[in-house]
Amino acid sequence: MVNTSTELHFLTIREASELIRSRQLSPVELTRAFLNRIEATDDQLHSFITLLSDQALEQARTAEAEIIAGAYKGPLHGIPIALKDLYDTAGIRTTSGSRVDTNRVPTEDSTATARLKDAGTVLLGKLAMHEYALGGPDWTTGFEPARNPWNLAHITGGSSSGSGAAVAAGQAMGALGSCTGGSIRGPASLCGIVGLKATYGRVSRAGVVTLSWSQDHCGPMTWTVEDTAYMLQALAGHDPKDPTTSTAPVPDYSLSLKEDVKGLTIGVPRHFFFDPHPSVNSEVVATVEKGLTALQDLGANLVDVTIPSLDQVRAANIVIMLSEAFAFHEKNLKTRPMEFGEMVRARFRIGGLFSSSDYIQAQRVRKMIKRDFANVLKKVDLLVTPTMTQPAPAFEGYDSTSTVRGPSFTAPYNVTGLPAISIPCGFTAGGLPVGMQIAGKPFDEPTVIQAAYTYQQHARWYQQRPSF
Amino acid sequence: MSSTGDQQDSQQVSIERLKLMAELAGLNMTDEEIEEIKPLFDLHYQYAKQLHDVDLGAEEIAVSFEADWPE
Repeated sequence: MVNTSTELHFLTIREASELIRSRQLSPVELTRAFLNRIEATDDQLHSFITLLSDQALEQARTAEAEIIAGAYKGPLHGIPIALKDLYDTAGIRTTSGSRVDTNRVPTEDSTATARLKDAGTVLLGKLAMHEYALGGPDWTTGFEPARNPWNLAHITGGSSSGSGAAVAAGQAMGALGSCTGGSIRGPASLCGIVGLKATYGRVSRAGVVTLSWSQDHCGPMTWTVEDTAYMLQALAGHDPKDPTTSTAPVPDYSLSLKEDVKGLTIGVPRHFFFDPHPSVNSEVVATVEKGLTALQDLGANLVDVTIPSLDQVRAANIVIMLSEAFAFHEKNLKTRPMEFGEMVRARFRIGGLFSSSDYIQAQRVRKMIKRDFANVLKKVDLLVTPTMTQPAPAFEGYDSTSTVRGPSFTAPYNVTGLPAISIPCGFTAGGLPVGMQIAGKPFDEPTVIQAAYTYQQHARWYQQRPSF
Repeated sequence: MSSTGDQQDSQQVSIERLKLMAELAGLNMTDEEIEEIKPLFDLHYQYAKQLHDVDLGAEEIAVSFEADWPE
Protein backbone atom coordinates (compact mmCIF):
# COMPACT_ATOMS: atom_id res chain seq x y z
CA MET A 1 0.00 0.00 0.00
CA VAL A 2 2.65 2.45 0.98
CA ASN A 3 5.52 3.86 -1.01
CA THR A 4 8.09 6.04 0.68
CA SER A 5 9.99 6.69 -2.56
CA THR A 6 12.11 9.78 -3.03
CA GLU A 7 11.66 9.82 -6.81
CA LEU A 8 11.20 13.25 -8.35
CA HIS A 9 7.49 12.78 -8.96
CA PHE A 10 6.94 12.23 -5.25
CA LEU A 11 8.68 15.42 -4.13
CA THR A 12 6.46 18.03 -2.54
CA ILE A 13 6.30 21.54 -3.97
CA ARG A 14 8.28 22.82 -1.00
CA GLU A 15 11.01 20.21 -1.50
CA ALA A 16 11.21 20.75 -5.25
CA SER A 17 11.13 24.54 -5.01
CA GLU A 18 14.05 24.58 -2.57
CA LEU A 19 16.04 22.45 -5.00
CA ILE A 20 15.03 24.63 -7.96
CA ARG A 21 15.80 27.88 -6.15
CA SER A 22 19.25 26.62 -5.22
CA ARG A 23 19.72 25.36 -8.80
CA GLN A 24 20.13 21.75 -7.73
CA LEU A 25 17.11 20.73 -9.79
CA SER A 26 16.17 21.82 -13.28
CA PRO A 27 12.48 22.58 -13.97
CA VAL A 28 13.02 20.77 -17.29
CA GLU A 29 14.27 17.64 -15.54
CA LEU A 30 11.39 17.84 -13.09
CA THR A 31 8.82 18.31 -15.85
CA ARG A 32 10.23 15.37 -17.81
CA ALA A 33 9.91 13.20 -14.70
CA PHE A 34 6.23 14.09 -14.42
CA LEU A 35 5.54 13.56 -18.12
CA ASN A 36 7.20 10.14 -17.84
CA ARG A 37 5.13 9.37 -14.78
CA ILE A 38 1.93 10.34 -16.57
CA GLU A 39 2.86 8.26 -19.61
CA ALA A 40 3.55 5.26 -17.39
CA THR A 41 0.38 5.47 -15.32
CA ASP A 42 -2.43 7.29 -17.03
CA ASP A 43 -3.69 4.40 -19.10
CA GLN A 44 -4.84 2.98 -15.76
CA LEU A 45 -5.65 6.16 -13.82
CA HIS A 46 -7.33 8.25 -16.54
CA SER A 47 -6.52 11.48 -14.70
CA PHE A 48 -5.84 13.54 -17.80
CA ILE A 49 -8.20 14.65 -20.54
CA THR A 50 -5.59 16.73 -22.36
CA LEU A 51 -1.84 16.33 -21.94
CA LEU A 52 0.33 19.31 -22.92
CA SER A 53 3.79 17.73 -23.14
CA ASP A 54 5.39 20.09 -25.64
CA GLN A 55 3.99 23.22 -24.06
CA ALA A 56 4.99 22.02 -20.59
CA LEU A 57 8.59 21.45 -21.65
CA GLU A 58 8.66 24.87 -23.29
CA GLN A 59 7.35 26.50 -20.10
CA ALA A 60 9.91 24.55 -18.07
CA ARG A 61 12.72 25.76 -20.32
CA THR A 62 11.48 29.32 -19.90
CA ALA A 63 11.35 28.92 -16.11
CA GLU A 64 14.86 27.52 -16.11
CA ALA A 65 16.17 30.43 -18.14
CA GLU A 66 14.46 32.94 -15.84
CA ILE A 67 15.90 31.33 -12.73
CA ILE A 68 19.39 31.18 -14.19
CA ALA A 69 19.01 34.88 -15.05
CA GLY A 70 18.21 35.59 -11.41
CA ALA A 71 14.50 36.23 -11.90
CA TYR A 72 13.24 33.63 -9.42
CA LYS A 73 9.52 34.18 -8.89
CA GLY A 74 8.91 32.14 -5.75
CA PRO A 75 7.96 28.66 -4.60
CA LEU A 76 5.82 27.83 -7.64
CA HIS A 77 8.44 28.76 -10.21
CA GLY A 78 9.13 25.74 -12.42
CA ILE A 79 6.61 23.56 -10.56
CA PRO A 80 4.52 21.18 -12.74
CA ILE A 81 0.81 21.45 -12.04
CA ALA A 82 -2.45 20.57 -13.77
CA LEU A 83 -5.94 22.06 -13.97
CA LYS A 84 -9.39 20.58 -13.67
CA ASP A 85 -10.79 20.81 -17.17
CA LEU A 86 -13.21 23.62 -16.41
CA TYR A 87 -10.55 26.30 -15.94
CA ASP A 88 -10.36 28.21 -19.20
CA THR A 89 -7.00 28.00 -20.93
CA ALA A 90 -6.41 30.24 -23.94
CA GLY A 91 -5.97 28.18 -27.08
CA ILE A 92 -6.39 24.87 -25.21
CA ARG A 93 -9.68 23.02 -25.25
CA THR A 94 -11.66 23.08 -22.03
CA THR A 95 -14.26 20.34 -22.01
CA SER A 96 -15.79 20.40 -18.51
CA GLY A 97 -15.86 16.63 -18.95
CA SER A 98 -18.81 16.88 -21.34
CA ARG A 99 -19.45 16.04 -24.96
CA VAL A 100 -21.27 19.38 -25.12
CA ASP A 101 -17.93 21.18 -24.85
CA THR A 102 -15.62 18.61 -26.43
CA ASN A 103 -14.36 21.13 -28.95
CA ARG A 104 -14.61 24.29 -26.86
CA VAL A 105 -11.38 26.30 -27.02
CA PRO A 106 -11.38 29.46 -24.88
CA THR A 107 -9.65 32.57 -26.11
CA GLU A 108 -8.63 33.75 -22.63
CA ASP A 109 -7.16 32.16 -19.53
CA SER A 110 -9.25 32.04 -16.39
CA THR A 111 -7.91 34.36 -13.73
CA ALA A 112 -6.69 31.34 -11.72
CA THR A 113 -4.90 29.96 -14.79
CA ALA A 114 -3.27 33.31 -15.41
CA ARG A 115 -2.19 33.78 -11.80
CA LEU A 116 -0.57 30.36 -11.64
CA LYS A 117 1.14 31.10 -14.95
CA ASP A 118 2.40 34.41 -13.54
CA ALA A 119 3.78 32.52 -10.55
CA GLY A 120 5.91 30.50 -12.94
CA THR A 121 4.15 27.15 -12.87
CA VAL A 122 4.43 24.61 -15.66
CA LEU A 123 1.06 23.40 -16.96
CA LEU A 124 1.15 19.64 -17.61
CA GLY A 125 -2.41 19.37 -18.84
CA LYS A 126 -6.13 19.42 -18.17
CA LEU A 127 -7.65 16.95 -15.74
CA ALA A 128 -10.61 14.62 -15.72
CA MET A 129 -13.71 15.66 -13.83
CA HIS A 130 -17.29 14.70 -13.36
CA GLU A 131 -19.35 16.29 -16.10
CA TYR A 132 -19.91 20.00 -15.40
CA ALA A 133 -18.68 19.44 -11.84
CA LEU A 134 -21.75 17.51 -10.76
CA GLY A 135 -22.42 14.04 -9.44
CA GLY A 136 -20.25 10.97 -9.80
CA PRO A 137 -18.53 8.81 -12.40
CA ASP A 138 -20.68 8.37 -15.51
CA TRP A 139 -19.56 6.34 -18.53
CA THR A 140 -22.28 7.92 -20.68
CA THR A 141 -20.39 11.24 -20.82
CA GLY A 142 -17.84 9.84 -23.26
CA PHE A 143 -14.98 10.43 -20.79
CA GLU A 144 -13.36 7.64 -18.82
CA PRO A 145 -13.66 8.21 -15.04
CA ALA A 146 -10.43 8.69 -13.10
CA ARG A 147 -9.47 5.91 -10.71
CA ASN A 148 -8.22 6.04 -7.15
CA PRO A 149 -4.44 5.45 -6.90
CA TRP A 150 -4.85 3.78 -3.51
CA ASN A 151 -7.07 1.14 -5.08
CA LEU A 152 -7.93 1.26 -8.77
CA ALA A 153 -11.22 -0.52 -8.18
CA HIS A 154 -12.43 2.49 -6.21
CA ILE A 155 -13.64 5.93 -7.24
CA THR A 156 -11.73 9.11 -6.50
CA GLY A 157 -14.68 11.17 -5.38
CA GLY A 158 -15.48 14.27 -7.27
CA SER A 159 -16.16 16.28 -9.06
CA SER A 160 -12.43 17.14 -9.14
CA SER A 161 -11.71 13.48 -9.80
CA GLY A 162 -8.63 13.83 -11.99
CA SER A 163 -7.17 16.44 -9.64
CA GLY A 164 -7.39 14.05 -6.70
CA ALA A 165 -5.98 11.10 -8.62
CA ALA A 166 -3.16 13.04 -10.30
CA VAL A 167 -1.80 14.60 -7.12
CA ALA A 168 -2.08 11.38 -5.13
CA ALA A 169 -0.35 9.34 -7.83
CA GLY A 170 2.51 11.77 -8.37
CA GLN A 171 1.32 12.87 -11.81
CA ALA A 172 1.31 16.55 -10.78
CA MET A 173 2.72 18.43 -7.80
CA GLY A 174 -0.47 20.40 -7.41
CA ALA A 175 -3.80 20.83 -9.11
CA LEU A 176 -6.80 23.09 -9.08
CA GLY A 177 -10.20 21.76 -8.23
CA SER A 178 -13.54 23.48 -7.98
CA CYS A 179 -16.15 22.96 -5.31
CA THR A 180 -19.91 23.53 -5.09
CA GLY A 181 -20.85 20.92 -2.51
CA GLY A 182 -17.50 19.34 -1.67
CA SER A 183 -15.72 18.75 -4.97
CA ILE A 184 -12.30 19.81 -3.67
CA ARG A 185 -12.41 18.35 -0.16
CA GLY A 186 -14.21 15.17 -1.22
CA PRO A 187 -11.63 13.85 -3.67
CA ALA A 188 -8.86 15.17 -1.43
CA SER A 189 -10.24 13.04 1.39
CA LEU A 190 -10.79 9.94 -0.72
CA CYS A 191 -7.39 10.21 -2.42
CA GLY A 192 -5.39 11.01 0.72
CA ILE A 193 -4.26 14.53 -0.18
CA VAL A 194 -4.90 18.11 0.96
CA GLY A 195 -7.69 20.21 -0.56
CA LEU A 196 -8.67 23.75 0.42
CA LYS A 197 -11.83 25.65 -0.35
CA ALA A 198 -11.10 29.18 0.73
CA THR A 199 -13.74 31.70 1.77
CA TYR A 200 -16.20 32.62 -0.97
CA GLY A 201 -14.71 35.68 -2.64
CA ARG A 202 -11.10 34.88 -1.77
CA VAL A 203 -10.30 33.18 -5.12
CA SER A 204 -11.66 34.42 -8.43
CA ARG A 205 -14.14 32.30 -10.37
CA ALA A 206 -13.68 34.30 -13.57
CA GLY A 207 -13.14 32.00 -16.53
CA VAL A 208 -14.21 28.91 -14.63
CA VAL A 209 -17.26 27.11 -16.01
CA THR A 210 -20.20 27.64 -13.67
CA LEU A 211 -22.20 25.07 -11.82
CA SER A 212 -23.75 27.36 -9.20
CA TRP A 213 -22.65 30.99 -9.10
CA SER A 214 -23.40 31.50 -5.44
CA GLN A 215 -21.81 28.26 -4.20
CA ASP A 216 -18.88 27.63 -6.59
CA HIS A 217 -15.40 27.95 -5.12
CA CYS A 218 -11.98 27.46 -6.69
CA GLY A 219 -8.98 26.11 -4.84
CA PRO A 220 -5.80 24.06 -4.67
CA MET A 221 -5.26 20.34 -4.15
CA THR A 222 -1.77 19.26 -3.14
CA TRP A 223 0.15 16.63 -1.22
CA THR A 224 0.89 18.84 1.81
CA VAL A 225 -0.58 21.81 3.66
CA GLU A 226 2.41 24.05 2.90
CA ASP A 227 2.01 23.33 -0.82
CA THR A 228 -1.63 24.34 -0.58
CA ALA A 229 -0.58 27.58 1.16
CA TYR A 230 1.83 28.37 -1.67
CA MET A 231 -0.85 27.83 -4.30
CA LEU A 232 -3.45 29.84 -2.39
CA GLN A 233 -0.96 32.69 -2.13
CA ALA A 234 -0.75 32.84 -5.92
CA LEU A 235 -4.51 32.51 -6.42
CA ALA A 236 -5.99 34.76 -3.74
CA GLY A 237 -7.06 38.35 -4.18
CA HIS A 238 -9.52 40.69 -5.77
CA ASP A 239 -10.26 40.26 -9.46
CA PRO A 240 -12.19 42.94 -11.39
CA LYS A 241 -13.48 40.14 -13.64
CA ASP A 242 -15.24 38.51 -10.69
CA PRO A 243 -17.31 41.09 -8.78
CA THR A 244 -17.83 38.66 -5.91
CA THR A 245 -14.14 38.62 -5.05
CA SER A 246 -13.16 40.45 -1.90
CA THR A 247 -10.97 43.53 -1.79
CA ALA A 248 -9.69 42.52 1.63
CA PRO A 249 -5.89 42.33 1.77
CA VAL A 250 -4.36 38.89 1.20
CA PRO A 251 -2.25 37.78 4.16
CA ASP A 252 1.10 36.02 3.86
CA TYR A 253 -0.02 32.42 4.24
CA SER A 254 3.54 31.17 4.77
CA LEU A 255 3.39 32.83 8.19
CA SER A 256 0.77 30.22 9.12
CA LEU A 257 3.17 27.35 8.50
CA LYS A 258 4.06 26.97 12.15
CA GLU A 259 3.28 24.19 14.56
CA ASP A 260 1.05 25.73 17.18
CA VAL A 261 -2.56 25.11 18.13
CA LYS A 262 -2.14 25.90 21.81
CA GLY A 263 -5.09 27.87 23.08
CA LEU A 264 -7.22 27.42 19.97
CA THR A 265 -10.80 26.40 20.68
CA ILE A 266 -12.12 23.74 18.33
CA GLY A 267 -15.85 23.20 18.05
CA VAL A 268 -17.05 19.65 17.40
CA PRO A 269 -20.65 19.38 16.13
CA ARG A 270 -21.06 15.75 17.16
CA HIS A 271 -24.82 15.75 16.73
CA PHE A 272 -24.47 15.87 12.95
CA PHE A 273 -20.99 14.63 12.05
CA PHE A 274 -20.18 11.97 14.65
CA ASP A 275 -23.38 10.42 15.95
CA PRO A 276 -24.29 6.99 14.50
CA HIS A 277 -26.21 7.21 11.21
CA PRO A 278 -26.85 4.61 8.51
CA SER A 279 -25.07 6.76 5.92
CA VAL A 280 -21.96 7.38 8.04
CA ASN A 281 -19.08 4.90 8.18
CA SER A 282 -18.06 4.19 11.77
CA GLU A 283 -14.42 3.55 10.79
CA VAL A 284 -14.23 7.06 9.30
CA VAL A 285 -15.66 8.58 12.47
CA ALA A 286 -13.28 6.60 14.70
CA THR A 287 -10.30 7.70 12.60
CA VAL A 288 -11.25 11.37 12.83
CA GLU A 289 -11.81 10.99 16.59
CA LYS A 290 -8.15 10.04 16.82
CA GLY A 291 -7.29 13.18 14.87
CA LEU A 292 -9.29 15.26 17.33
CA THR A 293 -7.48 13.64 20.24
CA ALA A 294 -4.17 14.49 18.58
CA LEU A 295 -5.20 18.14 18.23
CA GLN A 296 -6.18 18.16 21.89
CA ASP A 297 -2.84 16.62 22.86
CA LEU A 298 -1.16 19.37 20.86
CA GLY A 299 -2.83 22.01 23.00
CA ALA A 300 -6.20 22.78 21.42
CA ASN A 301 -9.35 22.93 23.50
CA LEU A 302 -12.20 20.77 22.22
CA VAL A 303 -15.80 21.76 22.91
CA ASP A 304 -19.00 20.20 21.68
CA VAL A 305 -21.17 22.64 19.76
CA THR A 306 -24.65 22.50 18.28
CA ILE A 307 -25.57 23.96 14.90
CA PRO A 308 -29.36 23.58 14.74
CA SER A 309 -29.87 24.11 11.00
CA LEU A 310 -27.37 21.51 9.76
CA ASP A 311 -30.26 19.23 8.85
CA GLN A 312 -31.35 21.80 6.27
CA VAL A 313 -27.98 22.15 4.54
CA ARG A 314 -28.33 19.34 2.02
CA ALA A 315 -31.71 20.63 0.87
CA ALA A 316 -30.55 24.23 0.48
CA ASN A 317 -27.35 23.20 -1.28
CA ILE A 318 -29.13 20.98 -3.81
CA VAL A 319 -32.02 23.31 -4.62
CA ILE A 320 -29.76 26.34 -5.06
CA MET A 321 -27.14 24.36 -7.00
CA LEU A 322 -29.50 22.73 -9.50
CA SER A 323 -31.63 25.85 -9.96
CA GLU A 324 -28.56 27.92 -10.81
CA ALA A 325 -27.10 25.11 -12.94
CA PHE A 326 -30.30 24.92 -14.97
CA ALA A 327 -30.20 28.66 -15.56
CA PHE A 328 -26.61 28.43 -16.78
CA HIS A 329 -27.09 25.34 -18.99
CA GLU A 330 -30.70 25.91 -20.10
CA LYS A 331 -29.98 26.68 -23.73
CA ASN A 332 -27.85 23.58 -24.30
CA LEU A 333 -30.26 21.41 -22.31
CA LYS A 334 -33.05 22.42 -24.66
CA THR A 335 -31.13 22.29 -27.91
CA ARG A 336 -28.54 19.52 -27.41
CA PRO A 337 -29.85 17.42 -24.51
CA MET A 338 -28.48 14.12 -25.77
CA GLU A 339 -24.91 15.42 -25.67
CA PHE A 340 -25.06 15.49 -21.87
CA GLY A 341 -24.36 12.34 -19.89
CA GLU A 342 -27.43 10.63 -18.50
CA MET A 343 -27.00 11.64 -14.85
CA VAL A 344 -26.18 15.29 -15.44
CA ARG A 345 -28.92 15.67 -18.05
CA ALA A 346 -31.47 14.31 -15.59
CA ARG A 347 -30.28 16.39 -12.64
CA PHE A 348 -29.96 19.63 -14.61
CA ARG A 349 -33.49 19.09 -15.92
CA ILE A 350 -34.68 18.65 -12.34
CA GLY A 351 -33.14 22.04 -11.63
CA GLY A 352 -35.59 23.44 -14.16
CA LEU A 353 -38.50 21.85 -12.32
CA PHE A 354 -37.93 23.66 -9.05
CA SER A 355 -40.09 26.74 -8.62
CA SER A 356 -38.97 30.27 -7.87
CA SER A 357 -40.53 29.75 -4.46
CA ASP A 358 -38.30 26.71 -3.89
CA TYR A 359 -35.21 28.70 -4.79
CA ILE A 360 -36.12 31.69 -2.63
CA GLN A 361 -36.99 29.45 0.29
CA ALA A 362 -33.58 27.79 -0.10
CA GLN A 363 -31.90 31.19 0.05
CA ARG A 364 -33.84 32.11 3.18
CA VAL A 365 -32.84 28.84 4.80
CA ARG A 366 -29.29 29.59 3.73
CA LYS A 367 -29.43 32.85 5.65
CA MET A 368 -30.53 30.95 8.74
CA ILE A 369 -27.71 28.45 8.32
CA LYS A 370 -25.16 31.25 7.93
CA ARG A 371 -26.40 32.86 11.12
CA ASP A 372 -26.18 29.58 13.04
CA PHE A 373 -22.57 29.11 11.91
CA ALA A 374 -21.72 32.71 12.75
CA ASN A 375 -23.12 32.26 16.27
CA VAL A 376 -21.03 29.15 16.85
CA LEU A 377 -17.90 30.73 15.41
CA LYS A 378 -18.21 33.55 17.96
CA LYS A 379 -17.39 30.92 20.59
CA VAL A 380 -14.82 28.76 18.79
CA ASP A 381 -11.92 29.35 16.42
CA LEU A 382 -12.40 26.30 14.23
CA LEU A 383 -14.77 23.44 13.53
CA VAL A 384 -13.32 19.96 13.01
CA THR A 385 -15.24 17.02 11.54
CA PRO A 386 -14.83 14.11 9.13
CA THR A 387 -14.64 15.36 5.54
CA MET A 388 -16.70 12.55 4.05
CA THR A 389 -19.27 10.13 5.38
CA GLN A 390 -17.53 7.17 3.74
CA PRO A 391 -14.15 6.09 2.39
CA ALA A 392 -13.90 5.81 -1.40
CA PRO A 393 -16.65 3.49 -2.71
CA ALA A 394 -15.87 0.81 -5.27
CA PHE A 395 -16.91 1.35 -8.88
CA GLU A 396 -18.69 -1.98 -8.80
CA GLY A 397 -22.14 -1.44 -7.39
CA TYR A 398 -21.67 2.31 -7.07
CA ASP A 399 -24.99 4.11 -6.57
CA SER A 400 -24.93 7.24 -8.70
CA THR A 401 -27.64 8.78 -6.53
CA SER A 402 -25.56 8.39 -3.36
CA THR A 403 -24.41 12.01 -3.62
CA VAL A 404 -28.04 13.06 -3.28
CA ARG A 405 -29.02 10.72 -0.46
CA GLY A 406 -27.99 11.16 3.16
CA PRO A 407 -26.02 13.95 4.78
CA SER A 408 -23.18 15.93 3.23
CA PHE A 409 -20.31 16.87 5.54
CA THR A 410 -18.78 19.30 3.05
CA ALA A 411 -21.80 21.23 1.74
CA PRO A 412 -22.24 23.35 4.92
CA TYR A 413 -19.18 25.33 3.88
CA ASN A 414 -20.40 25.89 0.33
CA VAL A 415 -23.74 27.12 1.61
CA THR A 416 -22.08 29.44 4.15
CA GLY A 417 -18.97 30.29 2.11
CA LEU A 418 -16.69 29.58 5.07
CA PRO A 419 -13.13 28.34 4.50
CA ALA A 420 -12.54 24.60 4.92
CA ILE A 421 -9.66 22.26 4.30
CA SER A 422 -9.43 18.47 4.14
CA ILE A 423 -6.23 16.84 5.33
CA PRO A 424 -5.31 13.15 5.57
CA CYS A 425 -5.81 11.70 9.03
CA GLY A 426 -5.41 7.96 8.58
CA PHE A 427 -6.54 4.90 6.68
CA THR A 428 -9.27 2.32 6.92
CA ALA A 429 -8.37 -1.29 7.57
CA GLY A 430 -8.75 -1.78 3.83
CA GLY A 431 -6.06 0.80 3.10
CA LEU A 432 -8.29 3.64 1.91
CA PRO A 433 -7.53 7.21 3.05
CA VAL A 434 -9.68 9.13 5.52
CA GLY A 435 -9.80 12.92 5.60
CA MET A 436 -10.34 15.36 8.45
CA GLN A 437 -12.08 18.65 7.72
CA ILE A 438 -11.03 21.87 9.45
CA ALA A 439 -13.21 24.94 8.90
CA GLY A 440 -12.88 28.49 10.14
CA LYS A 441 -14.23 32.00 10.22
CA PRO A 442 -14.66 34.10 7.07
CA PHE A 443 -11.26 34.93 5.55
CA ASP A 444 -9.47 33.23 8.43
CA GLU A 445 -7.58 30.85 6.16
CA PRO A 446 -4.44 31.54 8.23
CA THR A 447 -5.86 29.80 11.31
CA VAL A 448 -7.25 26.95 9.22
CA ILE A 449 -3.88 26.45 7.56
CA GLN A 450 -1.98 26.69 10.83
CA ALA A 451 -4.11 24.03 12.53
CA ALA A 452 -3.90 21.78 9.47
CA TYR A 453 -0.14 22.20 9.27
CA THR A 454 0.31 21.51 12.98
CA TYR A 455 -1.65 18.27 12.73
CA GLN A 456 0.12 17.26 9.53
CA GLN A 457 3.55 17.71 11.08
CA HIS A 458 2.47 15.68 14.09
CA ALA A 459 0.76 12.83 12.24
CA ARG A 460 2.98 12.76 9.14
CA TRP A 461 0.50 10.85 6.96
CA TYR A 462 2.06 12.63 4.00
CA GLN A 463 5.03 10.29 4.27
CA GLN A 464 2.87 7.49 2.90
CA ARG A 465 2.27 7.34 -0.82
CA PRO A 466 0.19 4.88 -2.80
CA SER A 467 2.35 2.12 -4.23
CA PHE A 468 0.64 2.52 -7.58
CA MET B 1 -29.64 14.23 11.55
CA SER B 2 -32.19 14.26 8.79
CA SER B 3 -32.48 11.38 6.35
CA THR B 4 -34.96 13.09 4.06
CA GLY B 5 -33.38 11.76 0.90
CA ASP B 6 -34.05 8.21 2.02
CA GLN B 7 -37.64 8.77 3.00
CA GLN B 8 -40.60 7.96 0.82
CA ASP B 9 -43.23 10.65 0.67
CA SER B 10 -46.84 9.74 0.17
CA GLN B 11 -47.48 13.06 -1.56
CA GLN B 12 -45.21 12.57 -4.53
CA VAL B 13 -45.85 14.50 -7.71
CA SER B 14 -47.84 12.45 -10.22
CA ILE B 15 -46.51 11.57 -13.66
CA GLU B 16 -49.14 13.81 -15.25
CA ARG B 17 -48.14 16.75 -13.09
CA LEU B 18 -44.46 16.09 -13.76
CA LYS B 19 -45.17 16.15 -17.50
CA LEU B 20 -46.88 19.51 -17.09
CA MET B 21 -43.99 20.88 -15.03
CA ALA B 22 -41.48 19.75 -17.66
CA GLU B 23 -43.58 21.27 -20.42
CA LEU B 24 -43.85 24.59 -18.58
CA ALA B 25 -40.08 24.55 -18.11
CA GLY B 26 -39.70 24.08 -21.87
CA LEU B 27 -37.78 20.82 -21.48
CA ASN B 28 -39.38 18.94 -24.42
CA MET B 29 -39.10 15.60 -22.65
CA THR B 30 -40.69 12.44 -24.03
CA ASP B 31 -43.07 10.33 -21.98
CA GLU B 32 -40.32 7.75 -21.64
CA GLU B 33 -37.90 10.36 -20.33
CA ILE B 34 -40.49 11.58 -17.84
CA GLU B 35 -40.93 8.02 -16.56
CA GLU B 36 -37.19 7.57 -16.28
CA ILE B 37 -36.56 10.80 -14.41
CA LYS B 38 -39.45 10.36 -11.97
CA PRO B 39 -37.61 8.43 -9.19
CA LEU B 40 -34.70 10.89 -9.25
CA PHE B 41 -37.12 13.82 -9.31
CA ASP B 42 -38.95 12.43 -6.28
CA LEU B 43 -35.66 12.17 -4.43
CA HIS B 44 -34.82 15.81 -5.16
CA TYR B 45 -38.34 17.07 -4.63
CA GLN B 46 -38.24 15.89 -1.02
CA TYR B 47 -35.58 18.49 -0.41
CA ALA B 48 -37.61 21.30 -1.92
CA LYS B 49 -40.59 20.30 0.19
CA GLN B 50 -38.40 20.13 3.30
CA LEU B 51 -37.37 23.75 2.80
CA HIS B 52 -40.99 24.90 2.80
CA ASP B 53 -41.54 23.21 6.15
CA VAL B 54 -38.89 25.31 7.90
CA ASP B 55 -40.27 28.05 10.15
CA LEU B 56 -38.34 31.08 8.91
CA GLY B 57 -40.40 33.90 10.35
CA ALA B 58 -39.33 37.13 8.67
CA GLU B 59 -36.02 35.75 7.46
CA GLU B 60 -34.77 37.47 4.31
CA ILE B 61 -32.94 35.75 1.48
CA ALA B 62 -29.17 35.33 1.57
CA VAL B 63 -27.77 37.90 -0.82
CA SER B 64 -24.46 39.58 -1.36
CA PHE B 65 -24.19 43.17 -2.48
CA GLU B 66 -21.11 44.68 -4.04
CA ALA B 67 -21.19 48.47 -4.18
CA ASP B 68 -18.99 48.58 -7.27
CA TRP B 69 -21.00 46.01 -9.22
CA PRO B 70 -21.32 45.80 -12.18
CA GLU B 71 -18.04 47.11 -13.46
